[in-house]
Amino acid sequence: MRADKKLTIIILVGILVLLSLIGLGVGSYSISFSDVYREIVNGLLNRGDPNSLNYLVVWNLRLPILFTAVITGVGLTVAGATMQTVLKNPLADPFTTGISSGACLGATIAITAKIFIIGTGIGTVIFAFIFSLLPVTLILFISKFRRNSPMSIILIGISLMFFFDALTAYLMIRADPLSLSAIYAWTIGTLNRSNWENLTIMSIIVLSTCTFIYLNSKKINALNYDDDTAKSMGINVDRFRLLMLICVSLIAAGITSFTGIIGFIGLVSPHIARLIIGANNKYLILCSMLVGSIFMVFSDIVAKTIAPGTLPIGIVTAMIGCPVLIFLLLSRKGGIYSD
Amino acid sequence: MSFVINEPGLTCIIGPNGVGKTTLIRSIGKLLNYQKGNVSIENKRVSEYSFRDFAKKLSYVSNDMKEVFALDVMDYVTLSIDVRYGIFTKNNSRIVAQEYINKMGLSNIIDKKTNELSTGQYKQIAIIRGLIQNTKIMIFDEPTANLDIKHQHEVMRLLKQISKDEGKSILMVCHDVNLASRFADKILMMFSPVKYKMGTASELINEENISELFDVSCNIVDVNGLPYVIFPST
Repeated sequence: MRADKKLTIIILVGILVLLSLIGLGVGSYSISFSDVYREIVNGLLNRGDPNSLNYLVVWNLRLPILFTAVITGVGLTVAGATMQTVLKNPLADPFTTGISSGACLGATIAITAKIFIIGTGIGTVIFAFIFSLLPVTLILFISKFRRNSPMSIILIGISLMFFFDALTAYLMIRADPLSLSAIYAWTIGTLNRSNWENLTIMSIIVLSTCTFIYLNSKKINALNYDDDTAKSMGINVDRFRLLMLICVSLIAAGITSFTGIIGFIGLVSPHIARLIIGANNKYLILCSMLVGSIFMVFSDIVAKTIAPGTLPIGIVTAMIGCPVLIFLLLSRKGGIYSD
Repeated sequence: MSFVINEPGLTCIIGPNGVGKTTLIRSIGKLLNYQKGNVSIENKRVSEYSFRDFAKKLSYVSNDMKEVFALDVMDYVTLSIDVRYGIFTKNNSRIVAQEYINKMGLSNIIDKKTNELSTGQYKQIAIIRGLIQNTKIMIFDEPTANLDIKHQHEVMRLLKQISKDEGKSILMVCHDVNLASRFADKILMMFSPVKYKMGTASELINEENISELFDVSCNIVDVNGLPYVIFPST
């Protein structure tokens, strides 16, 4: 890796660590920063009192939420960065293409129909994954037979999003009160349901898929150009695009099943990462992981500061992401559209 | 139609719009699933190659200059070799690219991004990208389109020189009969999807063929021993 890019990555890691340390100290339960860090060290050295309130808050609430925020940011941003190149569309991400909504619907069906072993979360993920593939299939099908214009893909994605959301809303109306609260949490996008068990499943899915995408990042670069050019470089374009979109669906399903739909992260963070490190996916994927997790941890801090314990992070990411996106769309230099 | 290219050199395909020039080169370049007929490279059907193996036999530089995001010039020109290697494997594509960039006098744009280049510069680095792929056969779709006369000549001279120096068979679509006459070793005239002629400029460029090809009247004059077409009435 070139020296300047290496430095950028190191700086971003530094920012992420710093924000994480701040984020751990902020929350609805009042506990000083030094007590938080002491409990972390005690826990790591097996010295802590597992029954003390401080220990429980740090180890069962703050740490799982922090790591969930990081993994969510990593996954959604890598998914967005990949989709934007693979679909040749700067506005693509799991949210705008209906993949997240599909995953949310799948999760809702799994909960209301009580399919599989819902308690472990795996059944929900499987259903979320299957349903997240529906928009992918439709987008690939349409772009095969009609000209793949960026706008048409987004319009299809947004109509699918409304369709899936309507179905989810219908299931919510019919659901029993217990399921209802579970589904409601999904549709808003929240980190409050984080625990170590969910985090483990989510991390395995997201980190393994992101690693796979990273290993293929040079091939993703070829799809930055017309399909003829990519094919002439030796890429089986149709197969590779499908593979990458399945990866994206897997990430979206893995995240959405536990946090619900968190918008704007996957759309905005890759563009910020491109401004920082350039569009070469070899560096962009790494940089995106960091920018996405910084964005999520920062949003979590904002949410906990404004309304401790009550404000879902999805609301904050949308509030920050919206103006950033408008800025990116309008700015001439380094903007989303170069012409 | 049926033809064989078995020696190095620059072959220009000329013909009116819509006659199927791009369809022809895309079929040769494994970019189109054709219904009938057969294209073979080294006695193996194009369809039997994997994309990966085929990329080592033939490089294709399309006329499409659209990109989703701008890369650094160096990242762009090394792309076709870089994709062959894993993420952690080092390769010498940058050194080779640097040589070509220097040779073409483009070292001043090496630190730029692709969206900061002029059309002519972009076409030139696209040619370098094709060259770095290091294949015996190279196909170019209208490499001189949208270029001014100076750059048209520069690009043609470069392709001619490469075909000679590096022993490559270059096949390109060209809309300018006089450019083809001056630089091509061979010309493939496509009158219709089924009617074609192949030969040198002196053999093919005459009033009869050109009038039939483009449905216009013309005069042919001799410039340095090569036929030069003038269109007086159009």
